[in-house]
Amino acid sequence: MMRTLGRSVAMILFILAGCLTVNVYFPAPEVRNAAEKIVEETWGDGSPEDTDKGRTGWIDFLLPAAAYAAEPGVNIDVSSAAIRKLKAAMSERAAQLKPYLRSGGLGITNAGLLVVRELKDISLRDRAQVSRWVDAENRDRLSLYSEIARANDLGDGDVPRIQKIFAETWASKAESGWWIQSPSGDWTQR
Amino acid sequence: MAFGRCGLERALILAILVVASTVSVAPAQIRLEFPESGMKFADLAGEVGGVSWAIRELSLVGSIDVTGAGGEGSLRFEASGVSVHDADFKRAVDSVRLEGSIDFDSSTGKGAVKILVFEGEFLWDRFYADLALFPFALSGDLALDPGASPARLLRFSASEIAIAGIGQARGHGAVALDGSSVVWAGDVDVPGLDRLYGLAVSEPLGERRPRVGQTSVDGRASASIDASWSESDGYRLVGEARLRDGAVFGDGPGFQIGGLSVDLPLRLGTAALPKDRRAGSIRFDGCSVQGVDIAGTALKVGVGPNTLRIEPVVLSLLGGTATVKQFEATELVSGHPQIRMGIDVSSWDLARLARSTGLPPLAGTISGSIPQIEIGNGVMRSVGEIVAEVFGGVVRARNLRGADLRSSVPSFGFDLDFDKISLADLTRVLSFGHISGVASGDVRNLEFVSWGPVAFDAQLQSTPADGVRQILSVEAVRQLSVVGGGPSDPLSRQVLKLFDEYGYKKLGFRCSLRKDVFELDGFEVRDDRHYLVVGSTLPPRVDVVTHNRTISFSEMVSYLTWATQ
Repeated sequence: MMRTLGRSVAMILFILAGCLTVNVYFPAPEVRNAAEKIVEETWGDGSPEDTDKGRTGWIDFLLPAAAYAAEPGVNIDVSSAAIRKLKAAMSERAAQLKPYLRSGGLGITNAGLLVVRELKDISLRDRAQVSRWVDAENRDRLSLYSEIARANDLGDGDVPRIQKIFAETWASKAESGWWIQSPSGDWTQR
Repeated sequence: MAFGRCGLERALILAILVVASTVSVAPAQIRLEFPESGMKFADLAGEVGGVSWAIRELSLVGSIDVTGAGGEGSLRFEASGVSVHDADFKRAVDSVRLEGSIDFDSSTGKGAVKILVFEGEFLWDRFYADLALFPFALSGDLALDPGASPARLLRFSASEIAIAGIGQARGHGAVALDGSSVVWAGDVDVPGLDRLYGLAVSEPLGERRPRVGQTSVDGRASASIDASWSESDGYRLVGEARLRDGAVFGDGPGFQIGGLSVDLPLRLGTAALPKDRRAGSIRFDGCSVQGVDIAGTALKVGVGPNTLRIEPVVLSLLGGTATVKQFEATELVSGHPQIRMGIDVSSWDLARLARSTGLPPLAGTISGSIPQIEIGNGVMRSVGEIVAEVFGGVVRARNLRGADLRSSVPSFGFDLDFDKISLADLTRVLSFGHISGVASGDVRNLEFVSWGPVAFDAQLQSTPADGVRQILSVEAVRQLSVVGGGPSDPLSRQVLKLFDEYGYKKLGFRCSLRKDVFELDGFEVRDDRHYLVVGSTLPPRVDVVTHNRTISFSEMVSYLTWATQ
């Protein structure tokens, strides 16, 4: 009897010892802070630093990656060279896209991407250009979410969570008159 | 009614019946004749299957005979203000002006059509064309498939489309009237490849892929094509493509190729393809990649179903050669093409490489072999190493890799090993004072984004070598002091000012870069002092010490810039 009990206790201890403690933590508040900062920088009044410097000597080959410093007030890394390049491209494109968001031609989906809603009042040439901007913007946004995950040692599985937080941030930062898609899929005008 | 399947024609015929100025009625026959000045219609509009159309002005000339069994006729037409668009305006034509003719005989099921489009706009999502710049003509003989009732196929023969400034296509084929399949076989001739590339590639894709937008392609392309598409099997493209007098000009001096001549079998598609492998060739007179010239050569190509292989080829560049082996691109139409290849590098002249690419002056050679490079799903992996005999020693680069190659910000990386390189040669090239001696070390996890380093772990340490003095100049001490976080004039004490150089016993460092945090550490730690340089035993002795510095990489670069000025 005692022998059986001893075996059972040993087995339980073995199983307990074999259990791994895995801390799963997704830094949602930090990602949200970063999202607000990035959205503000790219589509708001803030503007990211220019990373393109001329190269004159061997040290200059270090410059594109070096010409930035850690972002104050953000507890996750959103300052990698890749993220800065994406932010610069998105910031430059924002001024071109905003008029079409104001007119209702474009909208922001619940996935945090832009979509052409209705562009019948502009020329076909402009429609094609707007479609190209939208395509490039969405590509950069998806790359941005992946780069944030990578820069902060988050897995690919966390990219959709980052995208969701950004989607909420794009919607909350939308200007009056812009069309926003709700989580249920309905479109409303802010 | 031979061609009365679309709503536009039905509406037109109805309108003609109502308003035609000359209507002759005989038993079981109606003849409509339109005056030479043309019967005018205005502001026609309608919708068919979610596609809206409108015609501002339409003029008809000719006649139509309608009998109880069908009809025949010959019409010439001119139209302006033609617009067609789908429900969300992603595909549309607008303000089109055209003219043409249509002849038909419903008893034989045959007809002919000619259309000339002079101006207007065309939109297909991101693709746009101003038709005034690219007017086109479309013509062909048409026939409904005989014996089938109701007819299921509309066959076209002697069909031709010619686009001004670009080229033309001639051939024959058939389209299912329910829209479920299309087949076409014929010849394509594109003397204006530059305009076609601009219109169909660089303009619509340039925003998404700036390098594509900044590239131009020239030459005359032609092809013999057997193509088909069906809802059930997808598409199939089989034939031969040719390019003559071709040239590609990339972004700035990044990539150029001239005298390009291509003969390439086509075996592309999602439908069943011929299994046989066909031979082709690619020849060019010369090529330049990032300022490095590659002598012209001919490549033998083998093409199979959605695959392309290149026979081993020796390219001459930088005074040496690069042998490309086992190049194979597969799954070409899957959206995720895979590329495999190997490359042997032999006797590249580093001095020429440095001159061509704008690197600091270098001397030595590069050789080596990377027997396996795999590119697919946005990732590049490799096996093997390239060996550079440089700075009197050997530098090995291996584990060449890339990630996110399809994203806006691809990254590249490799590892480096330095073996017994001359510090005198190295510091001379880098203008970092003068240090003599021999050192070895390595760089691991080196990663570049936008051609700038974003991560690495590096270490370098001097190793004694017979017959090589270990000394460093005053300037080198000063620069090491600055980089190590010390004063810019560390040798201000009177006695040290008397010497131009100092002996050292050991010299080295460890450093790393992660997330813009640069850590510099000495190679040896004693009494919490991290030594970059341990001076020689005999006086005057100079040690250079750092304090396990952790600084922003940009700050480190500014230190380096300042120290080497």
